[in-house]
This record gives sequence, C-alpha cells and structure tokens, in this order.
Amino acid sequence: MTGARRTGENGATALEHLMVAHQRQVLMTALRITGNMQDAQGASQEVFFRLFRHQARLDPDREVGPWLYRVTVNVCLDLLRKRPHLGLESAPEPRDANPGPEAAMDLDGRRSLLHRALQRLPEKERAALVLREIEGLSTREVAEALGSSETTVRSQISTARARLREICTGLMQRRRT
Amino acid sequence: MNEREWLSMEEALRSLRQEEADAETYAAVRDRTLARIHAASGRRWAWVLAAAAGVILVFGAAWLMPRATPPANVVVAPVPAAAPAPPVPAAQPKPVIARGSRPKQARQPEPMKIQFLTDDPDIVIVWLVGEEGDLE
Repeated sequence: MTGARRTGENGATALEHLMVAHQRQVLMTALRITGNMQDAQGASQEVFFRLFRHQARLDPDREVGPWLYRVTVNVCLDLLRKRPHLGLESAPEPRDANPGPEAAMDLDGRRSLLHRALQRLPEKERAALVLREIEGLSTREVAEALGSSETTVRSQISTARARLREICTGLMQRRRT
Repeated sequence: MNEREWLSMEEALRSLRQEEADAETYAAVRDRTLARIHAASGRRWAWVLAAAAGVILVFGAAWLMPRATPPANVVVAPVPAAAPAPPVPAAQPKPVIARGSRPKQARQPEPMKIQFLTDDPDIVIVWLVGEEGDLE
C-alpha cells in the first residue's frame, strides 16, 4: 500500500496524501454507482474515514486501490439499499434540448444518456459494468472488488451490457417521439 | 439501436472515465473527512477521560466509606475446678427413614447442651456444643 503507513507521520496527514492520490477514483466511482454527486460525496467521506480507521491493519506492501474500490462499492450499495429511490429519480437529465437522430448525438449527449441508463441497471450489475468498462479493471479485479467469482462477474457484465443497450434504445426512442 | 449506434455508445461509455469533478468538490470531501476524523478523535478522548473519572470516583468512594469495626474479643471465665461434671446426656437416636419414601429435607441437629453446676445454686454454666464441636 503506497503511503498508507508512513512512519513518523501523523495518521491524518498520511490520510490526506492518500485522499489526494485516490480522490478521483473513489468519488467518480461512487458518482456512477449512486447516480448523484451529493451521495457520491457522502460515500467518499465514508470510504476515506474507513481507510483512516483501517490504516494500521492494511498491508503496507500492497496497493490501496483495490481495497478502496471494494469499500467504495460496498458503501454505495449500502447507501442505495437504504435509499433505493435516489438512483433513478436523481439521474441527470440529458442536456440535449433538441433531440435529433442518435447518429447526430454528440459525445456529451451520449454520455448523458448513458448516465441515465446506468441508473436503471440493477445495482450489482451496474457496479460490475462501471468497474469493468469505465474504470478499466480486469475481470479478476472486479470480482475481488465485488466479492464474487470471475464467472459471476462475466455473467453480470454480459447481462448488464445487453440491458444497457435495451435501455439506451428505449431512451432514444422516447427522445425522438 | 443498430450496431454502429451501439458501438458509438460503447465508446461513450468508456469515455466516461475521462470525466472529472471540479477541484472544490474534491477539497470539500477531504475537508469533511478530516473534520469527521478530528471529531471522532475528540469523542474518543472524551470517553477515555469519562472512564478515568468514573474509576477515580469508585475508588475514592470505596476509600472514604466507613469501615466496619471488628467484634470485641469474648473473654470466657474459667470454670471452677470444684464443679462436678454433670452426666453427658445420651445422644439422640437418629430418626429411621422408611425405605422407598422420599428423602426429607435434612433437619438442623440441635446443639448438645452441657450444664456445669457451681457451688452457688443460682449460677449455672451452660455449654452449647455445635455439630462441628465448637463452642456456641
């Protein structure tokens, strides 16, 4: 773990270094799983607070990234289980005010549509897809983060991609009508 | 959605990785996390201090409580040598318990009573001997 336990340094200072190094990873993953920035910020605080409490127990020779992914997913899924309505209702609306044919949709429009579609996926499938396709983790790393087998993760990702395509198709048809 | 459209969607999906939050958002997360850590640390010290104060109070109270005074020694007057020893009464026969009957609760045996007669007819020394043979 890089810098998780620095001798002679205050625990909070060491944590600050770690937060700066991993803030994008934690916050953006939380944002894609929870679907809104407020929840993503709350989840990120919880993740880093847990990191502070577990600092001494983490292996200093291992990267902290995979541990952070695992905790981020757990915190976000807990949050969504407590407040399951938040994901869908607070999904960002597409910015494209004049919807045209999907081929003409710019990258921002497609991203916006994908944000909405992601929030309609089941939570575990969404987490698997976010880690694999957006964060670029390997199947083994995703399995570690989710506490599942690689076979389960492959199945989840395959199902999630098929569902995402269906959802995107539905959303684009709605935009046309 | 045709294949070409889906490919462009997949490309957009992967490009989500390049999205960034603004610096203020990251700073807010860091600040709130550190504030929470400091608050938790303060609470932990408060608990430690409260526990220490509780221990001090308990020990202080125990120290200040009045201690029970030990019982005064009993002085037994010597028995006059001239006193004739009275006959020891025969031991009471044990009650016979019928076989098959339920065992009754053991009764407390009555202490053996020995009377010493002195020259003075008004003075009689009574010696109660318990089950263990101790003086009562």
